[in-house]
Amino acid sequence: MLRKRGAPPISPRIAFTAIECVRYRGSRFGAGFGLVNLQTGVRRMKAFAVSEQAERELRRELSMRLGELEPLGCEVAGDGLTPGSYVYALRQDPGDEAVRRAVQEVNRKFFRPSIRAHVYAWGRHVDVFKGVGYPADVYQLYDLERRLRGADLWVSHTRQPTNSPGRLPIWSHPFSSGEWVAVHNGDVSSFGANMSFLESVGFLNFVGTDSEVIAFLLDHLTSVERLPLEEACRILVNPFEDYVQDGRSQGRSVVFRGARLDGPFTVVAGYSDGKDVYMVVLADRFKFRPVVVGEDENYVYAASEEVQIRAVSPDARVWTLEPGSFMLASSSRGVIIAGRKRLDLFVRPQLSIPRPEPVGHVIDASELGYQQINRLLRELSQRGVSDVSLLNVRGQRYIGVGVEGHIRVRIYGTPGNCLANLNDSIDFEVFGSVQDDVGDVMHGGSVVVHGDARDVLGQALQGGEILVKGNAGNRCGIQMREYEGRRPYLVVGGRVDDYLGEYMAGGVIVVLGLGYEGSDVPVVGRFAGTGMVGGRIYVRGTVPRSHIGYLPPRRDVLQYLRGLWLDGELDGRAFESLAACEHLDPETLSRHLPPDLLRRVMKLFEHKYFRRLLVEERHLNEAEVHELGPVLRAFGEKFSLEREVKGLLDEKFTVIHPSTAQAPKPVVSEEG
Amino acid sequence: MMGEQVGRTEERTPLLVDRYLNIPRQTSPEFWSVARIEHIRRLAATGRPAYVWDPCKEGSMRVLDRLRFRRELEDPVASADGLEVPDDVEVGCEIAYGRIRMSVPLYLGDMSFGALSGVPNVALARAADSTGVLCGIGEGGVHPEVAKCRRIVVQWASARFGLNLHLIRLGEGVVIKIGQGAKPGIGGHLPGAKVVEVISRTRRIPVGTDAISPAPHHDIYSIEDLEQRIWALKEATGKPVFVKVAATNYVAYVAAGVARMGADGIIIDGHGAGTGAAPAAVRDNVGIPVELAVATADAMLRREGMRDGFTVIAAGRVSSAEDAAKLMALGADCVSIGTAALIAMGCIMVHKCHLGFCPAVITNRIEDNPKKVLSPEFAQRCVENLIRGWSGELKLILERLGLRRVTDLVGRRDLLVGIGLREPTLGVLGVEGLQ
Amino acid sequence: MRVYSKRLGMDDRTLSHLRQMSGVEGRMPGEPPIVSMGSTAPPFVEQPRAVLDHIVSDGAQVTRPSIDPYREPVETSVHIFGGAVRLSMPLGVSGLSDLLEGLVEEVVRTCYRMGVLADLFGLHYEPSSVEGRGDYVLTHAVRGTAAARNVQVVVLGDDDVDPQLVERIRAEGRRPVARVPSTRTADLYRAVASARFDAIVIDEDLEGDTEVDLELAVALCDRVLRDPSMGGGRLRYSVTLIATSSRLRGSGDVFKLLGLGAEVVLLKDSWKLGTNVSRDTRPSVLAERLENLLLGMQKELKLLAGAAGASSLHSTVCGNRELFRAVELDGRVLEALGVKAAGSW
Repeated sequence: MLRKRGAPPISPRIAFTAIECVRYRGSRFGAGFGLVNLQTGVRRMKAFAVSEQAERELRRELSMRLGELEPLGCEVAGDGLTPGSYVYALRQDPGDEAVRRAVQEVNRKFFRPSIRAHVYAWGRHVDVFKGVGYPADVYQLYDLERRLRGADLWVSHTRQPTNSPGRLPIWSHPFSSGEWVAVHNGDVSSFGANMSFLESVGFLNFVGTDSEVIAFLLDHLTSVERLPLEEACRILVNPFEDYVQDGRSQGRSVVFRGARLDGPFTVVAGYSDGKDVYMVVLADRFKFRPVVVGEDENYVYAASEEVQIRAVSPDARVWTLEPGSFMLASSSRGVIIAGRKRLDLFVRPQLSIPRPEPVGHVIDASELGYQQINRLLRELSQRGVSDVSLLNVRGQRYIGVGVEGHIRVRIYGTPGNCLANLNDSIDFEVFGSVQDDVGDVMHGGSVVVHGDARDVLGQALQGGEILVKGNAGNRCGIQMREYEGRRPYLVVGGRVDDYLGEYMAGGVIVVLGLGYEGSDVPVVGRFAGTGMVGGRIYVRGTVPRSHIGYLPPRRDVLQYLRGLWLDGELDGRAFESLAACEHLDPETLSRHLPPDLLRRVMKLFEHKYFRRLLVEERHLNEAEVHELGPVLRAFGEKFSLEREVKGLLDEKFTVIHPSTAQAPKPVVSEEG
Repeated sequence: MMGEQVGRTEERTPLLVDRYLNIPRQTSPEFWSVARIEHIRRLAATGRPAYVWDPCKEGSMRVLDRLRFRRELEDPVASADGLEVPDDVEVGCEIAYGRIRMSVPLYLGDMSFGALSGVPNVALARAADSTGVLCGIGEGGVHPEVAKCRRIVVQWASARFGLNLHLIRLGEGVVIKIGQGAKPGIGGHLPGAKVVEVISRTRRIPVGTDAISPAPHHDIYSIEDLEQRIWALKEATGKPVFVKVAATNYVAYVAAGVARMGADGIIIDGHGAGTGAAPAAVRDNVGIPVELAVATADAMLRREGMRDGFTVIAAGRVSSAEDAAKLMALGADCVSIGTAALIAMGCIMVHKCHLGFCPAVITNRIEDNPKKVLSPEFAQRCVENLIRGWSGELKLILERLGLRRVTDLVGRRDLLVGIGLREPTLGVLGVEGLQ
Repeated sequence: MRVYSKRLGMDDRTLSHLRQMSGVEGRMPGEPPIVSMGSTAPPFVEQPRAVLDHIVSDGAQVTRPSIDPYREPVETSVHIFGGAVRLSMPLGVSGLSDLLEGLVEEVVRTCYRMGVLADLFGLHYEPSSVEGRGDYVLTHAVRGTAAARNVQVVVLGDDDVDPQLVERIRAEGRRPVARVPSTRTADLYRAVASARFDAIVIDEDLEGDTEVDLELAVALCDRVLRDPSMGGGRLRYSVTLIATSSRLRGSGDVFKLLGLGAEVVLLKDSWKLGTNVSRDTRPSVLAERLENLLLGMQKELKLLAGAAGASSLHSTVCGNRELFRAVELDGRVLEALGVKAAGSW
């Protein structure tokens, strides 16, 4: 959470409240808080030490390298099992580079054969409070409420250990290096490559978690390589090759290939360059980890789940980052880079979520867990109650799982993940936004959402309807299927991100992009319809061809074409006109190439499981109008958008579905 | 008369296959050697133990085969002929925090309807019922006859084939299949040639399309996501939930995570495990052997204080009761067999399952009007006998080891010694070595 | 001092695999062959004959997802020579010296189309097809014309590294490439790096007294070039590490060498046996088969990378030993490789 200029400093209690909302995401194996302040005094350093002797030795080693180190006391006493935390002041500051090197050398010395001490923060603007336990435990341990007033930026974290133990606080987040403090959700697959890179630039010691590596990378790229903040972020989020257009960025991504992150990660980090305080939020290019950011008049927020932001600021406008993007905000400038294009259009749906009077049996869910909620729903359903309203829903997951019968459930608030999984007959209506994995393996019933949906909406949806007034995220409608007269419908009023309808085998998806008319932002992300073997996708308006299906890298295709031209097989003019084409997709290629050359180039596109996608931009035919009319009318009624929906059936849609033929088998030449 | 006959498909009575084919000569290196196949066949025919210490392991380079029980070195009896199976040795056990009772620690592993052609699926499930073990039904929905069996474990896999609320509530529990040993990091694969009408209906994909399950679960990208799915399934079924993973680099951490997240057990499937179809590049280069994985996972679980009650099931090239005993000594509570069960039903390792031409009618493409079909009674009997014979061999081994209960064997690495294994391997196994 | 002596010949299983991909056998050219039942791969069933046979790669599970290369992107492109040249995949083709000239020409053309390197080492002439395709060709210093941009200098011992030669090559607007045997002498790698070559080709088939298995040489060279004392560590990322040997078989070997630090792997015998090339092969047939083989291997590399949770070969897999483990190798060898034992924490 970042404070905008003029707003009150952020108290520790707020940081704590937010992380407590998602306590279930973590464990007792580690939690922590970090802050950044623009105002600073003398440089302080913080270290863990397993014993007083270890602490003395550590202090001596640091002093040898950095000069006099004044002990400011023990923040948290060790107890034989858990190390204590010690604070020092470095009055004669030799500068960042010297301190960084000294910390690396000393940490390595005290790491083997077993960890005796570890310096975990040494920046002038940052402070870190971390330990073993739940957030509440660490909060109390450091007595944050009493000791600290407010800060310009807070980060907080609760840990679910992956590849390193959870017994010592050195593995807890946040990690700090220089003027950076960072927390991270994920487990990067580039870990080994990143460590190799950091070793090559002088980092000597690693505690064994990728989260620390990320903090080191942030520090190194900005403070040592002196890259502008945006550039450092871009390298880390590792955009796909064809998003890296200019030569300089290409060169940087080569030299810094060891700094590029891969695999799942959401990083929230705070930083100060002495002139301003920044918040950086990174999302991996597959959007494997959830992240929601938000803003109100006074603050900028970033969190794993929306409910955390709403707990602190109920009316903040929130949005999700695009895959492979980052948000950058500062105290003085507010949100600098939003991480989502046309944010104004994206947030519109959430501004008008209705709150009609609750109907039927009313339940206050504010103090109920999901098991209690579902038990109540099951009982009511068995009793034949037809309408239930759940009020004050604050992130409870699994609502509706295992509940049968014909009951209508109205949800007020923010339900958590896995709503309506395995639903067969229940009608849900949500006056708010929903989170990840809604309607997984749903066979019937319906889910109506007046706000947004996040990722993996309707996975393996096989019956019933899901209608979302606002936006949906990544992997919407994947693996949808149909059978025995049941056909599912998924309609999204706003836009969706990547992998829409991946591996779809049946059913219908409609994306309306309401509000995006005339903007040049596509309403679907990339790789729409990748791996489709059945079903249909309708997207209102035009979709750039490059966003549909999974195409080979443009440069691979261009290389092959250039080779054909050098070979004398392809005419120079034809090559140039192809090179100038915005998209090198099968349709474009078939328009420019003779059949024998087309067959050869198409080898780059085809594989055994590839179904050619038919992409047409056209009006709906009579059968489609007949089929989709009722669905869209229902959409209009539910969301009071009758007027907007009325003319839609007459507009042009981009229609995507697999061609019925399998990919043509490549010709095998005979022995020469 | 002639005119009427033309154009009408002759419905024929398929030939019921109720005997083994001759084992073909093996011209290339094969783990499932003729000796191993014959061992299994003998158990499947008689229901009685054939060996104490399995002679088939001689000359094998597998790490597990270069582990020996010290007792075998002292007293190398092989054949079980003339030996009486002790009736005071208990091979039954409880798994999943005591919620499921097993007559012998054996799990018939997770081969889907589609990968197998129907009769084998039913035979395995019924054999599990009659002998009191468990049968995983694999990814691909449930065969209607299998749905009538009680001791089945339903699979929740990345493609969600055939899943609904009713199905996941069948049987004794649910297994979330994250990976399998034959192809770590890749999803299930049923070649299009085998996606015939009945499979198409069960899985709800078009006839003839390859059923390629996604590589990951698209709702499980982290350990807390796995927890979410475990508790969602518990909420829906109220039953024990297992997680099946391949044996990979970080399997110890994965096992700790699985236990911490609330699963009741883990199935670790190692390198060399069987599969109906996999890309050779992945099958041959990815993943570690289950013996190493079990040892390291068990050690990590103990270190984290999460071992008690949590069930560890070892799978992947488990070929004999001695293999099972060794894996239990390394830390497994139970073992899973796949290929061995198929061999009991008649598999002769032709390695053409992905093409659907199985001569033993086990992994063949399902036809509407088949010429021959595996005999259900024969197949079921073979599996039942295999389980009984296996159980007998296990008892003989336990008796030799001086143990009265199979549960006493779990984690007894001290009973093992490594022959000609290198230091790093011995370190991972926690076993001493002999040169 | 080798762990395994250099092995000649290729087993039938691997041969059939390569020929299915090239299209010489079977009916699915350009596709990774599908098999069933359990693996018989070394070192557990078949005899191990190389250090690579003991190395296995990771399958991402639970803590991170694997990536589905059939439906989602896995990038195989490699930017070499400081980013000046982009390969579509980290491969190249070598061992051309015993081919007919017409076929060599076709190989150079095919490599360019497919965005891989053509290695002319051992060739006594420069094929005309190099013209216009010089960025994708490794040519000999002695005969190199202006067309070929990447010029190889064979370096056999420390004293053979001549910085002036390197400067002369650069002055011609071309890129100096060192070719060394797979030596265990760290000083040789240091000397080559200090002389500012753009790339190093470690060729196991070059004779030398200080020979060690290619795997160990690659790992050593990668480590030496990353040593911070060698110029701030930036050095590693501006030198392209290329590995080759006649014993390399297929994408499994390639993937593992990438993990040990190589960025491009040149195939020798395997591509020739896989395409069944002979004196009688028509150039167009060779081109088609070689393209199929490369496409098949590219897909296999994607499968292996995706299985490990990597969506980019060059930035995530190259030099990332965390994605690999070794079974039944000596502690010394493990340390030299920098790879942990399978099952260790």
